[in-house]
Amino acid sequence: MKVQVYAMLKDYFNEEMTMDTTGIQNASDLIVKLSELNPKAEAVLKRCRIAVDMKFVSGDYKLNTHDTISIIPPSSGG
Amino acid sequence: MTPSASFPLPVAVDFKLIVTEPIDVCGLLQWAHHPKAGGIVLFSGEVRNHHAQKKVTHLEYEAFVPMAEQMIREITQAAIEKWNLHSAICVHRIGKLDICESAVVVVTAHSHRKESYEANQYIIDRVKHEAPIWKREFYEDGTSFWGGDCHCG
Repeated sequence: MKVQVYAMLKDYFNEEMTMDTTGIQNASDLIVKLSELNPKAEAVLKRCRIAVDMKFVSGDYKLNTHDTISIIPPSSGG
Repeated sequence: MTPSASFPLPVAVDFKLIVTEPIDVCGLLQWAHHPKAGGIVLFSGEVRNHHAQKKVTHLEYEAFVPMAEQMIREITQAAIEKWNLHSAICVHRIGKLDICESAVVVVTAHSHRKESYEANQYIIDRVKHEAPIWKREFYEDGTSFWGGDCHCG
């Protein structure tokens, strides 16, 4: 699956990654996997939302191999 | 931007809502004029030169542009329907912004000012908290910080 990160998460991960789906069933699993890949990002990741096709999804959303997933840090516009 | 020759649709379908150039604040106000509107509120969120006792030199904004535009459009449309606005628009800038520049502008027009104020605050609050847009503050001491200084709860 393709994973895109933004803002401060780019300090910890490549902006766009292709990830193996092994062990990743749903959106929450993906956050756990990313936290394992870079434990320094865990605190930020816990506060992130996940979007698939520009729509926010819940933690139990079942991810598909062909999904493009966006990891959305807490908003700070304005 | 050129104001429409006729009065606008309530929502600005032709405008880019995430821009990299300075926001044409007066142009947005011009666009929002409507014969039924007795009260137009324009909010400009601007870059201030301080945060938590630190001197801010500039900001950089980043967005997930297509999603942010879609969400701003949806939030603005929700306000139009909730308050029966005659026109409403919200434009957010990204990239490097200097002190005193407008980062976001919201314009709301209603027959009466009370609804224009309420709808304007509704739009800016939701855009700040929900849209995928991020701010990085740069300080005079050379450090920087991602994230918010939002005190609106």
